[in-house]
Amino acid sequence: MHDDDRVPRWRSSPPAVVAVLVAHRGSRWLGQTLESLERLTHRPDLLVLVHDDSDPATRELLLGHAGATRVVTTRPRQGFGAQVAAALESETEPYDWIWLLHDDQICAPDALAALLDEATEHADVGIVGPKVREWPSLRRLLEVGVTVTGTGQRETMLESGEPDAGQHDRPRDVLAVGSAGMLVRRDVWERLGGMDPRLPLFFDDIDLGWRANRAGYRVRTAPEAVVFHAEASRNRRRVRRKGVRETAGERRAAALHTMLANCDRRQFVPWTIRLFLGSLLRLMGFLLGKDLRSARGELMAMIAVFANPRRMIAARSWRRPSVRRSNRQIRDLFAPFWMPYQHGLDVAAQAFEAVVRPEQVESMGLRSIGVGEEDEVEPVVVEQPPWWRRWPWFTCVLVMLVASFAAARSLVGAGLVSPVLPASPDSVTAWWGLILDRSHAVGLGSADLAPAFVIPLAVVGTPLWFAPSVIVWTLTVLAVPLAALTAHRFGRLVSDDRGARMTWAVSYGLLVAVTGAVATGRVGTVIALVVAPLFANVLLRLVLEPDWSRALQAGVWIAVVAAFAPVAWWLAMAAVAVSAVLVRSAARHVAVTAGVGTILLGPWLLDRVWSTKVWWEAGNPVDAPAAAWDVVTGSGGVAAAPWWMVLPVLVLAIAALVPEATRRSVTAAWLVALVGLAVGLLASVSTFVPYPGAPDVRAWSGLGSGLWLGGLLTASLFAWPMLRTRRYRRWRRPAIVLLAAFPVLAGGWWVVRGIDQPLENGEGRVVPAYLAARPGTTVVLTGDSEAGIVADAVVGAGPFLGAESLRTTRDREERLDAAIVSLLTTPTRQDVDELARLGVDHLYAPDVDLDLARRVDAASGLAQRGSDSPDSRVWAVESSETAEPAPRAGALRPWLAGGWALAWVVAVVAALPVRRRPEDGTEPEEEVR
Amino acid sequence: MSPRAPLRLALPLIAVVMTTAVWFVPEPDPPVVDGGRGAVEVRRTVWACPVESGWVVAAGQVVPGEAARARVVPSDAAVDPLWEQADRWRVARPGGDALVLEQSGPGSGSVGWVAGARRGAAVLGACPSIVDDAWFVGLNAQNRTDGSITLINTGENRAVADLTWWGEQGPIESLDTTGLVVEPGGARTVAVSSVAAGEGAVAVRVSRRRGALAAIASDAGGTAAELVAPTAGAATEQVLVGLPPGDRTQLALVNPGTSTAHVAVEVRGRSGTFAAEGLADVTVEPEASTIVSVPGSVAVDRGSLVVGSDVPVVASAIVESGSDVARVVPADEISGPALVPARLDGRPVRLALSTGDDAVTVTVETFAADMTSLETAEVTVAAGATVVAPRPKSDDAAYLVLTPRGGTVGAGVWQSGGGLAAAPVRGAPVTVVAPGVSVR
Repeated sequence: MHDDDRVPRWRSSPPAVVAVLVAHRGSRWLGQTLESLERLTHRPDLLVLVHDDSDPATRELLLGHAGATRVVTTRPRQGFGAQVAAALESETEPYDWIWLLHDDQICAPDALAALLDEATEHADVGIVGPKVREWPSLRRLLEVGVTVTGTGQRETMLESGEPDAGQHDRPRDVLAVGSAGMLVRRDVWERLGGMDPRLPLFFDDIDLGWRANRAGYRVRTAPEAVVFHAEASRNRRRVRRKGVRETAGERRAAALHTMLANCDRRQFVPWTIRLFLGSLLRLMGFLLGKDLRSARGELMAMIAVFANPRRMIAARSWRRPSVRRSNRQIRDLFAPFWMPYQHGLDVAAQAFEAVVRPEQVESMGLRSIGVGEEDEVEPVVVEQPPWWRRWPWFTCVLVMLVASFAAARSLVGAGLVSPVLPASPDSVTAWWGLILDRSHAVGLGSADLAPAFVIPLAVVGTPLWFAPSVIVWTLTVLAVPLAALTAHRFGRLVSDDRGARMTWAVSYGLLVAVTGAVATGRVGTVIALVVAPLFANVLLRLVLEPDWSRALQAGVWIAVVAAFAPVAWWLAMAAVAVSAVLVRSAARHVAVTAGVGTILLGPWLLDRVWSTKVWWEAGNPVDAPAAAWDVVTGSGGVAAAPWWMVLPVLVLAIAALVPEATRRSVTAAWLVALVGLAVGLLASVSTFVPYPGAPDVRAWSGLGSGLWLGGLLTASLFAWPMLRTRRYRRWRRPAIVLLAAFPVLAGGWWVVRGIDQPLENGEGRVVPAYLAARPGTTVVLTGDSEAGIVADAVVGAGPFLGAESLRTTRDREERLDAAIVSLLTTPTRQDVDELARLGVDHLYAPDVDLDLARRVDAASGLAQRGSDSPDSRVWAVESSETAEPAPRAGALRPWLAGGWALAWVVAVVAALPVRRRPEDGTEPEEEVR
Repeated sequence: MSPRAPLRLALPLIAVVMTTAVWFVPEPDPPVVDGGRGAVEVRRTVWACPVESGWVVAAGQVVPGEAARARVVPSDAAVDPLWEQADRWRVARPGGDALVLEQSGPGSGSVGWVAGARRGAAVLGACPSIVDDAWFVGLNAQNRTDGSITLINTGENRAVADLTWWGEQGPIESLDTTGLVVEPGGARTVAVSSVAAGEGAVAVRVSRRRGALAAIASDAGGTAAELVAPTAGAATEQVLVGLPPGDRTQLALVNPGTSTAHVAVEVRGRSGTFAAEGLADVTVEPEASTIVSVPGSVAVDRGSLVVGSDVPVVASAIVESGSDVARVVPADEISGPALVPARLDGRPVRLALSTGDDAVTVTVETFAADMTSLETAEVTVAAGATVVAPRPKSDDAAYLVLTPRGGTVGAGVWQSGGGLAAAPVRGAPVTVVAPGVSVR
């Protein structure tokens, strides 16, 4: 005889089972629930119906049920466990097993029989739970046993909406089973004291199962026993306790309570710390996500659990007598350690999607339990093409990612530097220090306010704490796919031709490389070109459907871009002004955009945006000569592509002006392009003085070039649909060739050339290693006696990204200037003493002019030290003078700067496209009716 | 073409117009440090003189200095407080091996002179300041075998110099004089014979590697002695101004290059320039020194020699008179004030001025020791001529300040009678060209 055909022994002498059905405003489901009990192949010996008399309809249904042994009315405001306990107290007949039932569940006919099959299989089984499927879908699995993660999350180990195909039909030991359909041995129930009265609704089942396990009993699943559960309370489809005010954070408090009450003694302190910190993190997350309700719940849960040690002591004391096993002995029953992180990733992915594709996201919260209506349809399996054909854009992005890594083959490490791009700091602390400190150890000491772009860098870099260079690495190495992604997103808004849109997006993405912005390390231009399509997207949606959240988003994008590339502020304001004029109805929203984009820049506005230094992007001010033709062809940069590569773009853009049907949109794109060209051309003839006395620096025209070419590409995209018309169909092939030519040529050039030179891996050290390793100030002398000498005071290894624009006081600059001039002409001991007073302890000339070196060498108090190359010199300043205190800002500085940073965070949080959870909407009462 | 065609082309045309317009805008210049090179006042001067027993050192300045500090080498020697008087012409016999004077004050222009006698032979020299490259030519020529190079550390750090040698047969290898260290507060003398005995006329290049170092040479032997001032470097034209009257004149040359130098010598006399007979084509082998005699028929007394060459060379004149010798080295082109003693060690100092293509008027102002102006004379130097400045009339004259107007002049001084001595006149260090400096 086969095992499966074996008749369980209990059938010959069935154990007595008392079923306890707890009802509470369950009239919507109760009728079917009771009917399902009637259909059971093996019925319970006793059926006790319990209710709290909260609903006449429920009461009538219970009293009218003929099969009930007894109907018990309990006091209101009691939890599930207490109601079960009340029912059992009233029971006088003997029984062996207790079967717990909810009023919103129906049981498969053989549910109880299957439970008893499993329950009687082994003597040490204390609790058995059924396979729980969703009601009314009946197919989706809700639970086949439950457990808990280290962070206190209830975990079913099932995918959301996972259909039941028998994949979990093997009975197994679990930490706990849900109370809907739970079969508990009477002696186990009594020994454990039933459910914890401190857990009236949530986590009572997990707690009971956990305690049973620790008491030495096994908790099993019986997948052959199937119940269908509506989870009315969890899904808020009924008011739980009429007249009882819901306690905020009750579910989370129950989780924390369960975790701490059931942990081993040795685990108590570390678990408390972990859960407390985790709760704090969740609280921050809810606040950032503008989910104030959840934040309040989290806070209340923390107060309820962590501020109430007596309650916890009592809970642990109550459990202690029954404990036979440690959690270590049942560790296999807990969720894997990585499960909380998977949930975190899910949340992060949803949050990210909400930011980049807000229109696609219905809610932003934990994984939704509900299932869409469309999922009710039986899936039809059809043969599909391979994934790379099904998702061509995804494939395209993957190819671009691979190409990006190939182009960055020479830049293996994360530390990228170039003459323009200073090294990233070792930790984000340095960026926060720039924002909040009153005095900066930069150059001769500075009390300047941090550049505006340091705030987004610090905020974004905080999760990366010790690897902020990853931000710059990502922006440079992945610049092309990033720009292509944002462009494609905008393209979806303006074009329905997938092939043309993808080609256009790739072409646009390549512009960041073609202009030389990537290889020169001009992150300002990279960010501006990456964000430009996002900004266009938001602005377009804003004028079409004015919305305060979008207005804030557009403002934040303006501020972000202008912080890195100040000239972009003027371009954005022009776009905003035109939008306000053209669409009057959106004028107020657009005004908010302009306001946010301006206010967030703070002092940066005067220092950089509204000054002659508007061309100075984030990084060092490096001379960038470019002729007019270089701007037109985007070939002005040091590492720009050959001019002839953009000829197809120019030809296509001019041809795009021909069709009349699309001329309006093409003209708009051309106007954007012309504005970009004007900016590029203006930059090509402009210079700026980064600081008093410094050489004039020729402005970088790459941003203008990028916008010009981007506009031309967009003009082509707008006109592309015309190629489907009969009139222009004959031009389709030449047009396709021209459209594909640029991405093919530019992409090939990008990968073959790579993105190094002048970009390189390194620490950005401007002084020899032994000078960089100490905290002192070194004056680096570069240039020669003909072109002039630049004396650059650096601390340690040199300035990091964000610190390059900080200045010391005018007085200290003038004193250093005088001392250096004197040292280079008629050096005196006083010059050396002056250097010492300014805090300078070394001079370094990396490529020394011999004549100047000899002059410096003659100074008393300057001792030559070992250098890093034959052409360089290092002199140590030997003086008895002590360094004067560095400049220090007023005591209000940290508060003002902190407020500035906070304004950024608030604006970003306010701009996040977060929507309320579905359960936050309609009142449950209404839905019940 | 449809009637709308021009409208279609309007946008590209705008782009073309914008580009073309910018095409004609001059491109910005490459970055240059604001201000560029410029003259700045010298705030501190340091010079050093070798001293022997009985030698006289004179110190003066164009304008009073703020402070002066003297140091005698070796450092345990007593220092005369006179040297601290930065507002007067002071003369003293400092003793020791060398005197280092550091004077501060904007545009003070401190200079020093030294004069004396060694074994009865007169010596005269301008005290050199810190040198980068110093060339000395014609040492140990004509059996004068006591020549030496004196290096004086004028700073507080250890100074290091490399000495490179050339003889008449070519370069002279000397490992001992490479990386020569002079301790702070010290001086070091290198005898030429210790490196280049029997090499004939020796040329030496002193290259300062680190630290602050002054260098001066001595050409001595028998009863003859003279200080040889450093020459900054080789050049294709050098003017040896102020040849004292002597019995015989020779020209010492060194060609440090790797190709043969063809040298032509001219004489600048009182009335103009003329070719030196027999010196129209003097060949100097590469990396070698040589001595050529100026024919007696060539009148060079109180005149100047113009040494032209196709490749850079260094020249120096040797004027012998009786048992003494005077050395004349290339003069600087003086454009600003220069300071010359009126008398030194009891003997008058004669001043010769020479100019090139343009006539230059030189204002010669005579000062007393307390820096009081006594008299002013205008000396006109005709183009291509050498003139001897008139002696000051006042008995109180301590020093002269020369100020050329309308050009530059070369100048040299000599003493004669009781020994022959000569020295070049350097411009007083009042201003210096400084590179533009930008601080960030």
